[in-house]
Amino acid sequence: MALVGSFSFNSFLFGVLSCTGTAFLAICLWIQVNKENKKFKDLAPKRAFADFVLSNLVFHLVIMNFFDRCPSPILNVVFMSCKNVV
Amino acid sequence: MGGKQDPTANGSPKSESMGAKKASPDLLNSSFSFKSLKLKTKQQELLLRVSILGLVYVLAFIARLFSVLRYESMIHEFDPYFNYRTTLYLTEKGFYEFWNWFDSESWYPLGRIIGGTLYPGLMVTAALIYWTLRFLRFFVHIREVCVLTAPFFASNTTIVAYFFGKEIWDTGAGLVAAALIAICPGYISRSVAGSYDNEAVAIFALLLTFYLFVKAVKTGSLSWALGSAFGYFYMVSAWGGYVFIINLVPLYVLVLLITGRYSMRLYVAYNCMYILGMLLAMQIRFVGFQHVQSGEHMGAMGVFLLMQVFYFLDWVKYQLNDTKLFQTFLRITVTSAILVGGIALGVGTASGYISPWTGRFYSLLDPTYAKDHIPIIASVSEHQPTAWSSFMFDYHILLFLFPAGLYFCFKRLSDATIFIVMYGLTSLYFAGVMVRLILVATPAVCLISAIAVSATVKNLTSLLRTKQKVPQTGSTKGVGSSKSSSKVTLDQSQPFQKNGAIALLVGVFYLLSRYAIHCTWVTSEAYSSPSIVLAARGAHGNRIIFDDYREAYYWLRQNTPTDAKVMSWWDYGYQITAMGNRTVIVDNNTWNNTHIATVGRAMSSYEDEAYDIMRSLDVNYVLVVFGGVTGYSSDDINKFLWMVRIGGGVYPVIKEPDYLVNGEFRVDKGASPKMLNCLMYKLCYYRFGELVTEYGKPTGYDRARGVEIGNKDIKLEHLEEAYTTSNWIVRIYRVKPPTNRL
Repeated sequence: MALVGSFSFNSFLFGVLSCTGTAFLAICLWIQVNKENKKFKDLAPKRAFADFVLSNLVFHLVIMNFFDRCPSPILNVVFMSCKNVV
Repeated sequence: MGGKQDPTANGSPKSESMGAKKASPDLLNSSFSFKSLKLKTKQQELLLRVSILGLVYVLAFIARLFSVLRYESMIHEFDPYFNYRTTLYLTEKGFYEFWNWFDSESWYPLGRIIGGTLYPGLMVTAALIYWTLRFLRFFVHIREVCVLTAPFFASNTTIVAYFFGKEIWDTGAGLVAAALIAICPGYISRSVAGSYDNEAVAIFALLLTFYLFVKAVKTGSLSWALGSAFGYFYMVSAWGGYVFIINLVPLYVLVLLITGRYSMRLYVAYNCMYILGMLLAMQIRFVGFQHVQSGEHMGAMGVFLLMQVFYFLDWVKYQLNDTKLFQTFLRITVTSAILVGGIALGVGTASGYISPWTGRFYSLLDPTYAKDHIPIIASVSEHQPTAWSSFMFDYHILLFLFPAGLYFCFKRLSDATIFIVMYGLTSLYFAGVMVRLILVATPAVCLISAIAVSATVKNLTSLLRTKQKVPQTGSTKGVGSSKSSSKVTLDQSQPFQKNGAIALLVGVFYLLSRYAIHCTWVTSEAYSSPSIVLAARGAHGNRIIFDDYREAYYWLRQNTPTDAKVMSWWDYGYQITAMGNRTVIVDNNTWNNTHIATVGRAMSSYEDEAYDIMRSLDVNYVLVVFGGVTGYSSDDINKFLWMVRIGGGVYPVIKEPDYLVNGEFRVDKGASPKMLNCLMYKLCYYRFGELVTEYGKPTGYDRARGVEIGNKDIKLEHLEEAYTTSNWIVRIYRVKPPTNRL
């Protein structure tokens, strides 16, 4: 699929992480806004939502960086072997 | 006011200070009286705190300027030269060129993908500071920025340490922590002006990440966790030691889970930091996908999955409302979760998908590993185990304040104090394994000691400020003050408590002043030498400077063809490329062990074999460092055995016993014939046999080894001497082209 480019590991990782991350951020918002959670009583819902929006912004900006990012897979393998020598 | 003694009014500290303030206008009989400056206690406290922090900030900066004042503003050591060269490249060519840079001037003929094999945090930081200053019309040279980056970030670290101390204990502990860390030798050693190395910004990033994470766990707010993810990103971009964070934080979370301190705040904080931090960390090319593929990062993932299990269990417990059923469910889930995790880990490791721990980090867990398997890691002097004297040298009084601080932390256990205890204990363990890691332990030791100092001083001063009850006769004074941990009123049976408290306070201040004196002395004597410029005392006490290294590199820069290739031991690679601007065969990056072993083999072979190896590598010049004339002991002859070991590790033709006599390394007449005729020996001692180095000793007396050399009549067949510096420290030889065949 042209959206994620030709590097398959990149796209796999992008898929997994974006699902996990979005799910987590939604859970976070739910935890902080839910009135039954006594620990988060003093956190205003507006602040929780603002945090949610900001984190989502940052998160998706970073995820978008995975589109067609890495140089050729051969060089990637070279990096890995370099690191393992030391 | 006035002479009347009013006990109730004098009881509270607030009115005491106000009374003191009211007394001051009597000194000045002007219309502008100090009454207008009468500050409330809170404002006084704020003024004190801000001024103390300001002074500490300035102190941290200026304590690191010794070498700039004594020598000049230059980059020290070896690694900083590479960082300087890359920063120069970044500021000249821009970020895109820097990020995609392939360098053909090092590791000839392989080259090095610099853009993908470095940690860009330091260079980008320095470049940003440089561009900001330029924007403000301060046209400084990039070298000045590089030299002063480390002290600037050390000052910033003290501010972070203050906030961290405030988070863990209170503002007093924060202030003491900032003051301690400003001058602690363990930190100064790697952040002195001119030491333009990764640790300069890495320790700042480390402490920032930890502070933001502890804050996130305390408040449960997503924005603090986001901040800690960014702090982690900065750390990953700055230093390879980020592995410490990605293992310590999960370990801390695990300890919290085990001790029953699971909470929603922890869930939010850790998950946000893990997911976002991991995503951000993968933007650095050098790190790449290690967070999901390397064994060192699997702990974090395991704890992440465990957190999800805990959250799920929490939710089920809430829904179920039935304890017995829940217990069964709990047991089943936990067992199956651990089983699944274990199987996944096993499959991953066995199939090779999850790479095992790399040698550098594995040798932290098993210190004997490097010595047997990877001689290159074992040869670095910074990687040796720490001696007790190093601990004392770098920490002084903090060594015994650390256990005291641990005691206080255990008395008041909270999420934050558990963290600092874990950080302190793990980092001290690693500091014991490797000298270099004393740096990582320094913030923890300073913080915990600050807790000890602050809590003690607070108890003692609270004793001093209490009301004096009617004293009774008898009893010793010393016992009372040590038992007065939280009592506000005096114990009637110990009348001399106040005197005891005063005595102990004087003792504390004496200790702290000795600490300050020690730190300044250590910084001045031990950690302010640039290593590239050596200094010694002459016969009349005057200072003699040996600037041989730079002399040799500039000779190379000005007198050799631009495409000349220089072969030297890997220590000098970075300096040769940065200052000499010539291509080198191996340098300090040490990423290719075989290439280094080839150079090692060339240095330890006879001249003919070495000439073949040098021809195969297109070497034009050979550079050796020799300390026999000046008595400089870090020269190539003293490093020679490591060359043999590393060369022998790859080429079995090089055997270490060939160079030793009865297990002893000698260079005099009794040395082994292989040693007396190998290339390194010949290059170092060429024409040395004619030189008189010390009065009363024969010619060719090697002052670094303290012996007369064995082979004085050296003839070189395939090389010729190109340059020897004024004190014979650096010697450069030209490789002659092959002779014409007849």
